[in-house]
Order: sequence, then structure tokens, then C-alpha cells
Amino acid sequence: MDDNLQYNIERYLSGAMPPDEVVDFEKLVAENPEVKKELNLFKEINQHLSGERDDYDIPNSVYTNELRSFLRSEEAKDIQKTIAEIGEEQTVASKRKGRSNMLMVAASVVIFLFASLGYWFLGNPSTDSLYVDYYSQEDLPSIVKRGDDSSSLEKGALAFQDGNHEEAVAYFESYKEAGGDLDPSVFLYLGVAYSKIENIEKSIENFDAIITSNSLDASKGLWFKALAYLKAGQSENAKTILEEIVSNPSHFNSNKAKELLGKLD
Amino acid sequence: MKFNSSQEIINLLLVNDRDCIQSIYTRNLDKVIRFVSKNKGTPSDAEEIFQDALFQIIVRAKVKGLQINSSFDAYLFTVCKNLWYKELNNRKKKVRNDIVLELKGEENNHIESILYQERWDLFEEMLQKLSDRCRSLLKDYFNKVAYAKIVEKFSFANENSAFQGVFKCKKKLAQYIKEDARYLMLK
Repeated sequence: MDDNLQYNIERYLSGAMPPDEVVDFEKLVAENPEVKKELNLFKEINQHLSGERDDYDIPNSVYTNELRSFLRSEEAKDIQKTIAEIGEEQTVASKRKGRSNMLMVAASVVIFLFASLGYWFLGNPSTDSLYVDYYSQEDLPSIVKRGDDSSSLEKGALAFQDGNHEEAVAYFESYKEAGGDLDPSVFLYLGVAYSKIENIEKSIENFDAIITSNSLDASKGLWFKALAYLKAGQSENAKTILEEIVSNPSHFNSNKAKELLGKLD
Repeated sequence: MKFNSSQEIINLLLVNDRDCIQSIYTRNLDKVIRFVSKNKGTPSDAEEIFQDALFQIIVRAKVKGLQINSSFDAYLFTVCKNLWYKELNNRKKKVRNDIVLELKGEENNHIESILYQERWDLFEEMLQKLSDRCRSLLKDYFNKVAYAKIVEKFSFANENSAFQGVFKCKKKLAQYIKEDARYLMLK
């Protein structure tokens, strides 16, 4: 495939080709199956790299015919049946586990009571262990979306979820740089991710951005900001933020903030 | 149940080994449920995706053999993620009422997902063959990093050279993909 043609494909797909050239180019594609094939490959590459997902036609090839005939076989049905049966057993087992978890919760309450007594005798727990006790990823809003503009946001969320905080920061920052209508949750995620990689300045900067925004999650920013200070061992700063949360019962985790403040005093 | 390699697991799956399937569920289902639940799905969506992913891996192993270079569990998770994105995409299309969705049937859905995953594996593998600079440039470009930033970061003379740079990397990637025998099989 000659360089010039591939270059035109790239210009066409990226929108850099002027409209009068587009007409001729599309005519060329329609008339030449090889060019069409190359265009499709470049399209597939773009889709792969941008995380888009599109349906493709199923080719009528030897391989797809082999897949088709296997899928129709008794053997395939047996495999499917075994997988489904085991899935069913696992669901039942996990419900049982759920019930036994309730017993575990009851046991934990007893342990907690003893631990609390120990706390009064042994002194304050470290800010680090309090952070571990109070930080919950579940408190973060879900931000995963699928679409052209949000792929770096989505990739960041996935990296974050997998515990790759440095990678998450890189994706989130590039999402921010791209501008446009930003999902405000990105500031929360960035705040937490920076705190995880021990960059407290950047962490606070991002929390402040969401706290001062009109976002519904603004008060979550306060909660995670307090936790970030806690993680950084800055308990006085953490206390100031926790007091602010406690002062308004409608703030996110206001009760927990009160509890945590009690432990820090 | 402990395994030494992905191949060992695949060999057991090929003979429909219940213990092996059970231990795959035990090790991985919760993680998939967490992922799907955080991405607009329910635990029962996750169970369905999990079953399809495992089934499609076995089908591929049966029909033409399958070699997994990473850990089996990590690969299964990737397949589950891709299947879930496909499902979300389908749901999005259903919401857009201007598109009448053709009912593809279970068989075509499996084939489509298998081909998609194989193309995904191939593209990922070929991306690893590119230089670090190319990979990083493509990553920034597709994350919609502003051209001005790309010019600065990669020391291009101007935006036009940055465009040329992206093009060259894509051309290299296209060449690697075309040279691989698997690409023809997916066509």
C-alpha cells in the first residue's frame, strides 16, 4: 500500500481532508476493495486506541464456519450447561456465605467493643490506621462512561480501580487538559489518587476545586480532603476540615466525621 | 486448587473439568461482579458476562487452540471487561430509538465477541512491538491531549510534524498487524 494513499486515509479519518478531496476519496474507496480494506484497518486501529467499541460484520470465513459448527454441537451445549450449573451452585453458596457474614458482623461488634476498651487504655490509634478504617472507595461516585470524550476519564477510572494510582493521575490529568465539559468527579478521583501517591499539595488542590464547585459531590470533597490530611499525618488540618463537616449535618458523612474527630481529640 | 500455568487450566477446561471451573468461579467472580456493579450493571449481569467469557475462551481453545501469555485470571478479566463494554454499547443503541436493533441470536453474539476479543488481543500485542515513544505518542493523541502539548512533549517542530508523527506510528502498527497471520483469519 503506497504511503500517499495511507496518508490520505489518515487525513480522511482525522477530518483533515478538505471537502472537495473527500468526494474524490470516497469514490476511490467505493471502487477499490484494497483501499477499502486499508481504510477499515485504520478505522479499527483508531477504534482500538480510543477505546471505542463498534460492531463488525461477521465474515464468512473458514474460521467463523468452524466456530459456528462447534457452537451448534452437543459438546458446546454440555460445556455451557456445566458452566451454568456451577454458576448456580456458586450463587447459592455465596448467599449462604452472606448469611454467615451476618454472624461475622455480630462477632465484629463484640470485637469492636473490646477493641474500643483497649483503645481507651492503650492511647490513640495512628492517623494512618484511622485513614484505613475510614477510607472507602465505595464513597466515590461512579464516573465510568463510554464515549468519545470520556475515554481517558474511563481509562483513569479503571486504572484507579486496579490500584494503579500514578497511571490514573496521568489519564485524569489528560482528561482535564482536553477541556470541555468536565465531569466534576474527576477532581475527587484526582484528589484521592494524588493522596495515594503522597502528593498532598496536588491532592488538596483538586479537593478544593470540587469543594468550591456547584457539584452535588462538593461535600464529598471535604470528607476526602480530611482523609488526605489524615493520610499525610497532618491531624490538625484534618481536624479543621472535620469540624467544618460536622458543623453542617447535611454534609457527606457528617456523623462519621464527628466520630473520627472524637478519635483524633 | 492450584495451577502452574494458564495452559494447565486450558487443558482442564478442554475436558470440561468441574473442579477447575469451580475454582475459576471462586477466584474471579467477585472481582467481575465488583467491576460490573461499578459500571452500571447488576450482579446478575456480571454472572451472565462471566459465563459467556468462560464459555468463549473454551470454544476458542477447542476450535483452534488458545495460548494465553498472561495469567489465566487476568485474561479472563479482560474478556469480561470487553464483553461488558459490548453489552453497554448495545444498551446505548437500544436507548437511541432511531436504530432498530437486529436480533442477532446467541450464536452470532458469541462469534462476534470471539472475533472482537481476538482482534483486541492482536492489536494489543502489536502495540507492544512499537517503540516506547510511538506508544506514548499514540496514547496522548487518543486521549485528546492538545496538539500544542504533544508538540512540546515530543519535541516536534510544529503541529503538522506532530500529525505526521502520529501517522507514522499508526502506519507501523498497521504494518505489524497486516504481517500477522491472525489478521487474515479475522477477515
